[in-house]
Amino acid sequence: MINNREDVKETPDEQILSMLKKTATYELGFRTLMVKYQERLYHHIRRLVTTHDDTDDVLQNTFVKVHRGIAGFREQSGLYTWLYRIATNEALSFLQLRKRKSALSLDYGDMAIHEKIAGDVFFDGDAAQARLLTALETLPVKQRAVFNMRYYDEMGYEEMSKVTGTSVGALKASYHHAAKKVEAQLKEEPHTETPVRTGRADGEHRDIYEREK
Amino acid sequence: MKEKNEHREIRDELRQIAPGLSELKREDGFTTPHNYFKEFPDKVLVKIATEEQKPASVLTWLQSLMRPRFVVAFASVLVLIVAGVWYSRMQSTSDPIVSITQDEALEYVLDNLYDFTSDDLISSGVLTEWDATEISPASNEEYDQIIDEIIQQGNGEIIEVLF
Repeated sequence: MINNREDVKETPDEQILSMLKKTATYELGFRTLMVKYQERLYHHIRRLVTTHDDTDDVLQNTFVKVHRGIAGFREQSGLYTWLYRIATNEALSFLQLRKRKSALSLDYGDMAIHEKIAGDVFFDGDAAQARLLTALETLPVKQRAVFNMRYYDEMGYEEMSKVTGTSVGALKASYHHAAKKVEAQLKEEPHTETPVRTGRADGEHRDIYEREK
Repeated sequence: MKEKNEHREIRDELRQIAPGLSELKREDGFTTPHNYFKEFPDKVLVKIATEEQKPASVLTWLQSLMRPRFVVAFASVLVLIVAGVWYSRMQSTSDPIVSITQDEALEYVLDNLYDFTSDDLISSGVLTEWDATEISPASNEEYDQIIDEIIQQGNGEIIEVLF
């Protein structure tokens, strides 16, 4: 039985791919792959789609697509790069679909990011993190994905290029522009003087726009 | 070592372009329900098993045909189907009378003059009942004369009706 033990997360990609090539070890290999990469992919997707429920859907679809496509994986790029690309595409497709749907009706997808965070029991960040997420929401979605890859995941431009299919120069320009824009947003005062209260899984609430001491 | 250098480069780069941003901690603050990651692999495997038990939809079937190894075969079959339909329609819409020239029609009439009865000539409007009575039974010379008259009138439609 596979669980989230650290040694499972340390399984080399070559070993995972080897298990995935044999019917007898396929399920074990696929479980190992999920245990190793699910958290990183979860956070990558969550930063794009924001809510836990949406992230859960997108992450499940990502791994279903990985299962369907793993036989055709040519190992020209690293396994994580390939997974990351699938997850990014799934998240961007989800956002496009949500945008089309929200054009037809007013629903949760139309809520501002700070409203989503305020009502999200699965957000435990501080005021600065909440403000950063709010600032990121002002970026075009693909630029936000680029920023996240570099800022949160500390990904090199070459790897980002493999994920996005965009040139290194274009990615560099996109990231620099995004970082400056986000910084300018953070320097501005928060949109509301009234502190937004976050819900927490443990039932406690607190202000997220409180001034940092 | 290489990875550490890369991370340092990334942080230095950010410090230069957005110093305020570089001071923030790089965590998003998002959490998950209790045991979410422990249960997640099972959830995905159940989903995969459920989807694989479903009969393939028409869309899925069409998508499978678009895989690279099937594309050439699929395209060949498609071309054959289109060609077959086109040929079939050409066959059904082509009129043998329309497709031959007036000279060819004339030649046919002359070669098969005795195949045309006086009734054919009357129904086509070439002859009246009276004309037919007058010339029947007609000699070969008389028939030739009648056909010559038709031709001289230049009425191709009449010749077509004779067929």
